[in-house]
Order: sequence, then structure tokens, then C-alpha cells
Amino acid sequence: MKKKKLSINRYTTTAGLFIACIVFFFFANFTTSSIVIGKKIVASKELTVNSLIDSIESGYTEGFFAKLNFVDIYGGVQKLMNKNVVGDFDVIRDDQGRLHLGIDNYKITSFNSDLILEFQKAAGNIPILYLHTGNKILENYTTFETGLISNKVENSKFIINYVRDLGVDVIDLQATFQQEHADYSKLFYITDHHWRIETAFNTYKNLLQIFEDDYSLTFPNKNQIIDDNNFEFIQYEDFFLGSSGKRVGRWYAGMDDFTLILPRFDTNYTAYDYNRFQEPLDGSFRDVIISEERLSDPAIDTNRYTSYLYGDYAKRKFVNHDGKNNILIIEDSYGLPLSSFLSLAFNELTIIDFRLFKDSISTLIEEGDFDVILFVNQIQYP
Amino acid sequence: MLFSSSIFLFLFLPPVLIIYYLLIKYRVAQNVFLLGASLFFYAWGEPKFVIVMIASIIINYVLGLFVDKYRENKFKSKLIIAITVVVNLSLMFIFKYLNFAIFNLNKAGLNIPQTNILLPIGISFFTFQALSYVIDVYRQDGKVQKNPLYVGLYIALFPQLIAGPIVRYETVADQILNRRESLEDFSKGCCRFLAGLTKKMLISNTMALLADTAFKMNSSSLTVTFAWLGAIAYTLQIYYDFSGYSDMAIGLGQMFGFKFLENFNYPYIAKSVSDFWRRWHISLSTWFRDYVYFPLGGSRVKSKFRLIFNLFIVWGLTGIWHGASWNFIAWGLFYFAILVIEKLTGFIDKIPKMFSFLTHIYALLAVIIGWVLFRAANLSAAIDYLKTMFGIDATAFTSDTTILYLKENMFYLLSGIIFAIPTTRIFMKYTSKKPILNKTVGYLYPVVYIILFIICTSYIVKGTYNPFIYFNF
Repeated sequence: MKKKKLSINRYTTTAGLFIACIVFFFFANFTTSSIVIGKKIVASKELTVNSLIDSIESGYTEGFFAKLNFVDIYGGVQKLMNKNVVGDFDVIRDDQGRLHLGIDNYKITSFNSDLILEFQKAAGNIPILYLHTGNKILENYTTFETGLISNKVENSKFIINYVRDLGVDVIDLQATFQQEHADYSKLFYITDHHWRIETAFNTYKNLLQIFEDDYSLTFPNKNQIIDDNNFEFIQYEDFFLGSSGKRVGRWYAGMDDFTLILPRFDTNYTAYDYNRFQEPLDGSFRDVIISEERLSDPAIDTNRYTSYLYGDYAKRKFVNHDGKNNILIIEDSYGLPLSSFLSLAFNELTIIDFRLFKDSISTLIEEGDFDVILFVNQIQYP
Repeated sequence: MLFSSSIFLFLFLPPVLIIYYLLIKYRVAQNVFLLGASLFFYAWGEPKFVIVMIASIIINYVLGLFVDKYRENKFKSKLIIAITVVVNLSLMFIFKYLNFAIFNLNKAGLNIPQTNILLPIGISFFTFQALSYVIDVYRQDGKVQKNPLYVGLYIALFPQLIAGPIVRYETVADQILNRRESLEDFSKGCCRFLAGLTKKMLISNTMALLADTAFKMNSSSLTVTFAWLGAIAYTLQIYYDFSGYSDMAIGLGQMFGFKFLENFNYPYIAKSVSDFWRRWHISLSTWFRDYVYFPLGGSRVKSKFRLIFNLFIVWGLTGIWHGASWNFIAWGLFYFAILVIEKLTGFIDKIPKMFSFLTHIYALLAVIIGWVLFRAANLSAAIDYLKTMFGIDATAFTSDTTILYLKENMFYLLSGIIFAIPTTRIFMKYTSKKPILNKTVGYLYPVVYIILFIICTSYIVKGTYNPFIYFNF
């Protein structure tokens, strides 16, 4: 380099800071990204030069040092510009300040009824009930800025009517929310597409009543297991960053409070959850249902919602030795807290996620001795 | 590898800079290292295409030696130049235009199977540089390189490899061995790079989302206002994308001691289409001027017909250079038509000064229409889009979609318009005369740049939309 008297000016300062930044991240990323890259290389089906490059590229960005902080900055910039549509419609903010993953501006005109027909055929006399949990876009409540059109409510109505026409009982929670004058602002998480644990808990109580009234199922301990006084509501403030929130960061989305609802009374379970436990596990509700790791993990982006039942798996079964009747639940992630609470009432509770379950439906029903089959949202083959 | 990627910024660039400056006392070693780094940079996108690049380097190195050796023999030297042109353009034809040619021949009744040949990134840029090397050696505008690695370094140097500017051999011939790195140049190079990165990441990529929505929209749902918004967004996208890449390339070049010529000079303030092309992609227009237009006779020809013919050749080639599609050819011929009118009538000069704003509006309108031809999926889509813009067969004048996109992108749209005119230059000139203000700007300058860099990094890490507009080039 040409020898010249070193002069500090705006350009040299900028260059110094820039070089310091890229060198810092060069070394910082070595520790964080190399692990992710290594995993991706191991997971790749065949090792070619192109697959190696792909693994390095995706792993490097995925494992980028302080990635979530950069997402916070990205979201902060979007907030500063008062954007309601972030990225290519990745996240939409409604007028009530809640976040949505994209927007359904299309209209459903057809419905694949294969799954429900297959169940109807295999179930025989076992009653089938479809719980439409509704969605975050609530009729007469959720509004968007001019130009954003969501057909989610209309699409929901289309599905509900279609399923009813097939002779399946439907519980439309949107309608229930309206009848009960529910506080719409508290039904769903702001940063996530799921309902709050409290909403699932209230739905559980409603469902038990419906099972008793309409399906002649009796639950001897019902008064105990639906009484709020018999439950512990543990509040965690600013504790949950949902899937929408993770895409725009905390500066845009904020953090949701999270409530863990646990029975105060004694419970006695055996869990056949081979995804998590090698052998059937005996224990209390908290032992077999609740993931303590998801609650104690200090990482901001930990999915607290899956503190109930750990997340989505193909099949698992829970036996509550104090419960009565057997239920089969076909669910997506909405069902995680609801199924957890329903396990307090039923003797045997089998949970299927059809995005992952590939076995025979008739065999499943034959082996189960079910008193009722409940679909939670998952009404079509994925 | 894209400049606007985490791999380039944080994995490739730091070690390349460190090793390069550790070799500061060994110019040959620096050059060999830069060539190796450049080939690695190119191979990252598609490893097999590096063979095409190396083949181009070797062929043009040999042709350069021959043209230098037989310089005194007019016939032989001209024959070598002819071979150079044929070989390089054939390479480009096979990779870029063969399928387009087959497609059109099949439409004319033949039945030739299409090939699976993919387009090597930046082939149009490095082929033109390779041509420039042999021609400049022939014209004695630069010395022949005895060492093939230096020809390789000139053709493959990573800062300008995939998106230009097209660096002429005469510009850098001496710099390959005799460039001088300095802290001042290095620092200004960093700042230039950061300015380019900001242009690309924040303005161009945001405008790309808007433009893509408009151009992908079904003509039955596209309104007049949204069509205009989409066309303006693309006008800004391509400028900030291309000039952003050029800024990054020029900045990177400076960091390694190279001085490349400017590629853009605020093209959207042009007073005429001729003026626009003196400001837009300067390295390409001067390349065509010096290697095609002037050898054909340029404007100094006896007949108007010959002038029109020369312009037709240049603009036809300019169009096809950008991509193997009829809309690129139409785009080139669109400019041919306008430039013929401008040159033959001289109407721009006849407009009184007080109405000079009309010439700006005319030039900008022509450029926007040109970009519609350039951006649309094909020629018929471009015509449909233009019809909607001018209210012909449009379903509606406006819709809520226009309001939504305007509101959501207002900041970037305004920034795009403001920085497309020399506001920064005017501001800097003004502050330089006010000592206190100048000092304040001096303190704020690094802060603003680093904040912008952190924001750009956040966009990169987040994985926002980051299209690469030069795949066709």
C-alpha cells in the first residue's frame, strides 16, 4: 500500500467500522453457522458440489449470529414506516394490531370430502363431531387497511356448510364466540395464528357440556374438572413470540403473554407417546402432557404454545385412569391444548395428526373402541 | 455468489481482503490470489460454468498473442480479429441464443429439438470484456499479456464479473501490475460499496415486489393506475439494482486498488433519449459505440440511410445483448426508432428553454415505456400492459390495490425518486461551504452508513426478496 500519512476522516472511519463488522461476523458465524451447516450436509441425500453449496448457503443464513436480533431490526424498520404488509405478504397486521400469516384473498369453491367420508364409513355408529375453531379473522371485528381483502370468514362458512351437508355435526366456534359475547381481543395470540390457551380451555368446558347433552356421554368428575377454582393459572408476561412474530421480530410484533393452565387436583396418567418416551410413562398431567423444556428454555423464539403435548406427531395415546369414555381426536396444532384438557375427562384419548399419520383409518377405529370422534380443524387430507 | 448475500459479505469478502493485503509486497502473488478468488466466486453459482470461463480466458489469451505477433500483417491480423469475434460470439450464441433460434426456426416450420443448455451467469459481460482484450491489443490501446493468468484476472475479476461494468482492457491494462492501493481509495471504495448495497437491498428489492405484482397481474384485474405504479416501480427497481451493483463493483475494485469507469450518471434526469443513453449503462453504450458504431462509420456518414442502418445495427444488438427474447429486440428497436427521430429532426434542441421540462417528461415517458417492453414476460404481454397504462381495454381506472401499494411503499417510492436525482451531490456541495454543517455531516456520515449497513444485513439475514435481474444478460 502506498505510504501516506494516516488521516482519519469520514471515509476511513466508515471503512474501519465496515471492516470491523464483516470481520467480527466472519468469526462469530463460525461457531453458530458451522453447526447448522454440518447438520444440513449430514441430512442431504447425496453429496455433490451443488448440494454442498446449497447446504452452506442455507445453513450460514439460518445459523447467522444473533439472527433474531437482526429480525428485530428488520421489523423495527417496517414499524417505523408504518407498514401493515411486511415482505411479500409474509405477515399482515390488521387494524386491531394483530398479526396474520399472509391473507386468504381467494375463495374456496371446492372441498375434498374423502377423509370425512372414509371416517364415516369406518366409524359405523360412532358419532363424529367437527369442531371448527374459527380463525383469527373474526366476523364483524377484524378489519384491514384499504386494499386488503380476506375471504377467510366466507371460506370457513363454505367448509362448515359442506361438512354439515355430509351429515356431520359441526360446532362453529365463531358463532359460539358471538353468542357468548366473547372479548375478541383476547381469543387469539397477537404474534401467533393460534388461539390462546385460555380460549382452548373455555372450549374444552363447552365441549364437555355438548358431549353430555347431545351425545349422552357422562363424566362423573365433570364438576371438578371444569371448575376454574380447581386449576392453577400461571401467568408468564412477554413470554411468547409466535410464528408471525418470529418473521417480523419483537420490535414490530411485541411479545405475547402466556398462561399455563394446570389442574390442581391429583391426576393419574399413562402416556403412550413413543415420540417422546421409549416406554409407556406413568405420571400426572404435568408429567406426561407438559413440556417443561419449552417453558424453561430462555431462547426468545421457543414455541411456548407447544408446551402442551410438545407439538405435532402422527399418533399418541393417553390413558387417564380417573377418566371415562374413549375419544379419537384428529387435529392440527390448534388441538394441542384442547386435547390436553380433554384428557382430564376421557379414559382413553388418542390423537392423530393426518399431516403425519399414514396408516389405515379402519384399523385405527377397529383397535380403538371409541365413543366419539372429534375433528379439530383437520377435516381434509393435507 | 451475490454481493447482497451473507455468504459474500461475511464469509468470502473478509478473508479475501485480509489475504490480499497480507500479500501487499508481492504483486504477482496478489494477482494470482485475486484470480483464484474470482474463479471461486464464479464457480459458487454453478461450478461447471467455470470451465466455460476458463476456456474463454485461454482462447482469448492465445488470440491476443497472435494478433500482437501478426500486427504488421494486415490480412493476418484482421483474420485473427474476425476469428476472435466469431469464436466469442459463437460461445455467446450457443449458451444464450441457440434455444431462442431453434424456437423461432421451429415456428417457421422446422422441427429441431430444444437443447438443455443453461445460461452461464454474466456470459454477456465477460464475453464483451474478452473481445475488448483482443481488439484493444490489436489497436494498441493496451499491451498484450504474456502471462495467461493476467488475461484471466482481467476477464474474471470478481467485482465486475457478473453484472459489469464492462471494463475495457485499455482502462485496466496498466493497473493489473501497476495499480496503487491507498487507504483513501480503500475507504472510499468501502463507502461506495455500502451505498450500492443500500440501493440494491432497500430500494430496488422493495420496488421489485411492487413491480412483480403488477407485471404478474392478470390484465383483467390490472387497473390503469396500478399499471403505471408497476411501471414506475420497475423503472426504479432496475435503476437501483443495476446502478447499485455498479456502485458495489466500483467500490470493490477500489478496495483492491482498481479504478473502473463510472457506469451511471443520474440517467432519469436526462433531457432526451440520446442523453439518457449517455447516462445509462455507460460501459455498454460506449462499448457498442467504440467497437460497433464507430467502425461502421458512426454519424459521420454521407447518407442518412447509412446513419439509420448504423443505428439499426447498434440498437438491434443492444436489444438482443440483454436477452434472447423478442421483447428485448423490440426494446432495442424502440430506442432505435426514437433515436433516429431525435437525430434526424433535432426537435429536442428546437424546444425553447422555458419549456425544457417538457423534454424531461418526454424522455422519462419514453424510458418508462421502454422498461415495460423490457420487463414484460413476452411481447404480447408488454403490449397488453401498455394498452392498460393508456386506458385501452382497461377494466377500471383505479382500485384499492393501488392505494394499498402506494401507502405501503410510499417511503421507498419517494426515496427512489429523490435519490435518482443528484440530491446527495447537491447536499454535499452545499454543506462543504458551511464549516459547522460540514463538520456535523462528517461525524454523521459513518453513523448513517453503518446504520444502513446493519439494516441491509437485517434484510439479508431475514431472507427478504432478493431477485437477480441479470440472469438474462
